[in-house]
Amino acid sequence: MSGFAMGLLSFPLLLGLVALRVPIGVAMLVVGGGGYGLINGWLPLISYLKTAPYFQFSSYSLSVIPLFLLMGQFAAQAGISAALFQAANVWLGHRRGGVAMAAVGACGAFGAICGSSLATAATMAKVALPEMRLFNYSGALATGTLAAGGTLGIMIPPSMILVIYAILTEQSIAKLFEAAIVPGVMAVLSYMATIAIVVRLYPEAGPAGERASQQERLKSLGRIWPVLLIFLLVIGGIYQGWFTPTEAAAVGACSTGLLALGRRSLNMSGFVTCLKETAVTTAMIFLILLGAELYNAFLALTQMPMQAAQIIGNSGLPPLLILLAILLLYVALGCVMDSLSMILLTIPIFFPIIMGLDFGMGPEETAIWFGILALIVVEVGLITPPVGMNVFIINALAKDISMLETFKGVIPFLISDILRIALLITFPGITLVLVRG
Amino acid sequence: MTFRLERILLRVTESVALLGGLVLVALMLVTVISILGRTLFNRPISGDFELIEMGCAIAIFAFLPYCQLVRGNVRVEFFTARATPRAKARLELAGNVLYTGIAALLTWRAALGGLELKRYGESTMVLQVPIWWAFGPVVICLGLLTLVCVYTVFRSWRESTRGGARR
Repeated sequence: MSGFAMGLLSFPLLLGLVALRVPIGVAMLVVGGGGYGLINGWLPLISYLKTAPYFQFSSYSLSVIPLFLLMGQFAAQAGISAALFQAANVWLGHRRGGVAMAAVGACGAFGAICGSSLATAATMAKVALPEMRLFNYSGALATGTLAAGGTLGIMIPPSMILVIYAILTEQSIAKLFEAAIVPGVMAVLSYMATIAIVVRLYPEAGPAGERASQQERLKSLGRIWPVLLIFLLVIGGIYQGWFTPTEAAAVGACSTGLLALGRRSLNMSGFVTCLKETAVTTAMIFLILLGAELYNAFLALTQMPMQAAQIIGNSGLPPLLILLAILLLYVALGCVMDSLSMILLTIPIFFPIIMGLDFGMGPEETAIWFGILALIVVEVGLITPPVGMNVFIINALAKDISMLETFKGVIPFLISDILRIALLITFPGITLVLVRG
Repeated sequence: MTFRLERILLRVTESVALLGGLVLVALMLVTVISILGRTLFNRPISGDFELIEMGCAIAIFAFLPYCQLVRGNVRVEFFTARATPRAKARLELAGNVLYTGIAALLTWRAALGGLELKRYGESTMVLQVPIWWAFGPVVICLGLLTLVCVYTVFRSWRESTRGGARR
């Protein structure tokens, strides 16, 4: 069997194992190891396993992952979500649909210190959901807003998915974070606009809340400035070249931890919870990374990704069509698969294809642009049925609202996502404006 | 008997994971102190990169057994969502057997790899820490992972005969 055929065959095999409940990292290790052994021989495989896993885990660039996860955990413990939501609410709550808009704004702000969507959705739902129910928001709008708002956790830097994409494709984390800022702000604003349109069509879905006094408004800002400070320190620090991404993550984790301590919301048991949660998520990610490394080593041996990229590059199909096909495939995969595994599984194959096409930009710009597009599509996967992780999380917290209702509530946000993707594809300059500086 | 075994394993893996977490917190502090030192006094902690690389690897290996025991590894639920709990447990049994094999292989290879690094006397660039030192905790964690994997095989086998997981 040719290498190319083995490479092609490995993909359905891998998906088959994954579909049969084999953990994704384990499936990649089995298929990748098997393929590597068949092509290169079994002795090289087991001698590869002597030190390669250790050296993969002891990589300076990967150490950014557990540190950002720790930062997100501290942020969730800090009790800052309530202050963020209150601050947004006193400014926006008096409008129709305003409480939901406030929830979106608070999600965006929380996403600025937390790189995970699930944590953002869960944390914000705890504070914003009761408030929306209090003002008689419809279940669909309330839960749909939070599920969609939660995705701002990865849309707005720091973002776990972007970190992993950057490491896989050897791009600069700093530049990817920078590029995500404008699309992230666009996401916040377009979600707010979506809510405004929804309540215009269905006024009873989101009644107006109370109007706060100017004094209350100013006071609310006083409670949230640390979040802004941490975001500026972390993202600005990477941008200005003060720190490496790992250092920025350490500074972010440390300052978020201090913030939680200062607000007296981090006690011993909370600290232990933070460490345990960080441990589980880190282990889960690194098992997949270990598998992806071996699987990619095998794919590289087969030369399949390179040849596939060449075939597609020479096919004469318009690059934009291929990009759209890949993004659609992501949406489909995102419906059944968790976002991180999807990126790890597909980037080694799709990235060379994209890089082999001409979009009228330099290679680095293409890589950054594609990363942001992939990020948004992955984010869409978090809220599409049947396996929208964010929807599950919100639904577990809002027991009286059916899953169907939540998925209905998500639809307007999905439409706004699609429009946003179309805009970013048509005008790559939106993504690249800050990077080009 | 299984409950007791699970409790003991939980306590052990939890403690190991927490130790790993403390290593991570320590690395965080070292990094912050190094940054403060270099900006305020122009004196960074030398070799902080190496400490982070080594410590991070140890912490991550320390997290693996706990994650496996508490079913933290992601799997795709979608295609088997309608299966009976027993059928799910049977499929998970297969996955756990595969992971057990991998964990055992990794433990064995890492032990050899560590011994080799010791023989060659390789050490880090700045601090001259022998790299094989890190392999001690790593091999212990991998050994624990293998043990946990064997237990999870047993656990899914029990669940597949008695009708599903108690989660």
